Amino acid sequence: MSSETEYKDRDLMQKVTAKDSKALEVLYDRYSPILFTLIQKIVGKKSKAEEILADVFVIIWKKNDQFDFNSMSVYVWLISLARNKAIDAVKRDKGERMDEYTEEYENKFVLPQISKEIEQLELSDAFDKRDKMYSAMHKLTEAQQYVLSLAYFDGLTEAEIAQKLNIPVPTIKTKIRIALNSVSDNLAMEENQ
Amino acid sequence: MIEKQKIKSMLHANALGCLDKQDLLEIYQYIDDGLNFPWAELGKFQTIASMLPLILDPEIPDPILKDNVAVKLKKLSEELRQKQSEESSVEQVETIEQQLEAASGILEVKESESEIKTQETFNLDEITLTETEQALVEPISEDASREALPEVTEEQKEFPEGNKINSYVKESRVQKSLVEDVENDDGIEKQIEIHKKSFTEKIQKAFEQDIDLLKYNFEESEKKLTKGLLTVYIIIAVLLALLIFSFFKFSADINSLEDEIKQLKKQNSLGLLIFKKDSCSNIS
Repeated sequence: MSSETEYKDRDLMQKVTAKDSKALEVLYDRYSPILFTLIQKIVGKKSKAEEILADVFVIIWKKNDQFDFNSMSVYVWLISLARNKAIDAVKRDKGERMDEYTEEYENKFVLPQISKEIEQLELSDAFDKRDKMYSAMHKLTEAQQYVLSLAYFDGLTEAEIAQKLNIPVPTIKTKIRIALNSVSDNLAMEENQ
Repeated sequence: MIEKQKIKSMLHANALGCLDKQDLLEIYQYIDDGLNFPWAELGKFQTIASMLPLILDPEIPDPILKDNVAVKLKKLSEELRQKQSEESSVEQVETIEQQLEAASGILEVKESESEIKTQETFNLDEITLTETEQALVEPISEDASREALPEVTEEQKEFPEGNKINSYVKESRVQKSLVEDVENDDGIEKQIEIHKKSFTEKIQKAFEQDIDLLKYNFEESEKKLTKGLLTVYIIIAVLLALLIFSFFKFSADINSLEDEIKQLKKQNSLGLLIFKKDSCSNIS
């Protein structure tokens, strides 16, 4: 087991694809805190968050062959998967009109469509940037922070955010673009310091 | 067709996962059309978006959850194993069916050949037999039948019945040789029949088992239903009885209370009368 704990995220995922349960266990130990934190932030209830986290790891076990090891980032894939699954669960619990949850639906809307030209970010690398990310976010205006929170953690679409804030949709689209660009620029500045 | 500029304007929302469904499908369509999608830019924004959870206060899940995940995965692997075994049994049945079809195809060809030959002419002399038919017919040739038959003794010749017996023996030996040839022949017909029998037997057994299972399940559900109905009836009856009892009790209590009130009223009115009398007499 000790050798497996030293593996990088991508190597662990490759072992999970080969149905190595110990590798999945190590992946769980490594990623469950951040995934659970994210899911609980989205759904609000601890019990529901636990249920969704279990479902996420079942999906990882079943469908990680859809992960492109050569180009994709494990960290981004897992975070996006957990977020998509949690948002989907929240919308279904609210009783929103949704498509039936089939394998096809899961492949299209829950499994993340990650860019193949992406930084190979590991969890350890992400945690190293935690403080910089924190200060980058704090440099945003409150409105920008709020819009990003509504979009990412509340899972609202642009139209829904516009309706909630009583602001036109094009304005929301612009605010989101500016907010994300600001985070990116602030993070780059923090890293250069 | 959606423009590249519009696609670029949707990258931020796509990375955050807050695109409207219509816009998301447009992006998928753009990608499926094989057009030049700005992957690098999308990757950059997806990385930024995925780092947003880092600013949250971390929480550790309950350790029991790990066991729950293991149980779920175990169930999943068992389901997959069951599916695989079902698929393999279906494949076996399909291969047997294919073999039967292939074999029946060969039979049909041979039958059609013989049919064609017989249809061509009604003149028996012109009919030529196929190899299999010749093999069946050969044992009836004179030499073979002669060797097998016992010689007719003079005694038997005297008795016409002996001739009958002889002819009977002759016929039975011919039939026996025919049967032996059929039995000894490792032709396709026997194999097909065996396959057909075993296949049909298997199917029949499977159907019988399914029917038995369905019957059992039906009976079980019927039992449960009747039990449930009985308990419901009993509960309703008990509630009714309680209701009736309480109705009578309360009505009796109400009646007794009414009587008491009447008595008290009488007493009060009597008391008032006496008081009035007393007060009148005092005044006078």
